[in-house]
Amino acid sequence: MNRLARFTALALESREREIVLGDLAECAQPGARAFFEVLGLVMRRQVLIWTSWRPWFALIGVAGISGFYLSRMFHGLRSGIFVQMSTWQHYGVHYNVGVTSFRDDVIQMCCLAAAIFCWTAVNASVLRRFSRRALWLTGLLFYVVVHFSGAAWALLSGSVVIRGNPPWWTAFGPVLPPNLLPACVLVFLFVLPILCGTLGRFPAMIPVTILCTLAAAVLGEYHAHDLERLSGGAFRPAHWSAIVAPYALVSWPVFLVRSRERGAAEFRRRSAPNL
Amino acid sequence: MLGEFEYLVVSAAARLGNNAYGAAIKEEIERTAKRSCSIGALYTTIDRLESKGLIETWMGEATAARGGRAKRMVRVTGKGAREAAAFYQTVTRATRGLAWEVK
Repeated sequence: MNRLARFTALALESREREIVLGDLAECAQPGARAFFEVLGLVMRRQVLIWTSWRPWFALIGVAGISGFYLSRMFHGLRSGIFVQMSTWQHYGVHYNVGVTSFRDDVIQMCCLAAAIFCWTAVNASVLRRFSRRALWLTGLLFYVVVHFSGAAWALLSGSVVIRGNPPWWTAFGPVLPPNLLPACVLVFLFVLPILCGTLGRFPAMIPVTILCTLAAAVLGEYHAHDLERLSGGAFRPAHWSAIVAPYALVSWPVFLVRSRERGAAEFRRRSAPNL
Repeated sequence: MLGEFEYLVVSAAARLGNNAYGAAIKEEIERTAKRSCSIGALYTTIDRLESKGLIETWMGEATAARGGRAKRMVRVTGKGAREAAAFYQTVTRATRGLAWEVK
C-alpha cells in the first residue's frame, strides 16, 4: 500500500478509511492495486451520493442560481468601488452622475458589502448541509460560479467592453494595482464567508434577523432612485419584479435556515419537560 | 431477491462465521468463486445488504497485521439466511433438468 492509496482514502469517512486501509494492509496489496481499489470505492461512494436529491438541490439551487446572482451583485460592487477609486486617483474627486451624494454611495456600498458577506456565508452553509460528502465538488463549483459568472455575464451581455487587447485573465481577476482594494474586498466578502460557511463555523455567528434587515436596507438603498421614480407615477410591475427577483433568488437559503431554526426551536419547546 | 454478488457475499459471511470481515470475505469470494472481488464492490454491497436487514455489521478489534486498524465484522441475520436460501432454491429450480454444454 502506497502513499497515493492513503491519500485517496482521505476522501472516505474516517471510520471507513480505517477499515479499508486495514483490509488492504492485511491483504498485502501492491501499491498500484491498492490505489485502484481505494479509488474504485471512492468513486462508488461519490456516485451513490449523487443518487440523492440533496446534492443536486445544492448544486442547482445554491451553486447555480444563488451563486450566479451573488456573482452579479458582487461584480456590481467591485465595479462601483473600482470606478470610485479610479476617479479619485485620476481627478481627485468623487465619481458622481448627479443623482447621489458621496454619503449615499458609501451607504449603498457598505450595505451591499455587508449583505453580500452574510448572503455568501448563509449560502455556503446551506450548501454544506445539503451537499455533505459531495461538498468538495459543489463548494468548488460555487466558488467558480460566484467568482467568474458575474464578470462573464457582464462581458457577454455587452455591459462591459474590453478595449485594446489585454490578456484574457484581466477581465476576471482584479489583480492590477488600481484594483487592489477591490481584491481585498473580494477576499473578505467572498472567500472568507465561503470557507466559514462550508466549514460550519458561521451560521451561529450570523443573527438571521440582522441579515434580513440588511437585505431590506440594501434593497431600499441600492434601488432608491428607481423606487423614488416609481413612486412618482412611473410604476411598472415588470420593473419591480426585475428588482426583487435577484434578491429573492439569493435570499431563499436565508429563509430556509430561518424556518429550520424555528422548527428546531419548536421541537425543543415541545420536547422539554413541563415543570 | 438477492443478486448474484449479494449471494456470494452472504454465502462467504455465513461460511466464515465469527471470522467474517472485509478482507476475509474478499479472499473467500476470490477463492470459491474464482473471480476478483474489489473492495469498492464489496463494501457498497455490504452497505446495501445491511440496509435491507440481511446482515449486521459492527467494529471488531484491531490487529498488528492490519497496522493496528479495526475490522468491520459481518454476521448474516435470519432474514439474510432466508433470502439466500430462496435464491439458491430459485437457481436450483431454474436449472433443474438442464445440462449446460461448455464449449
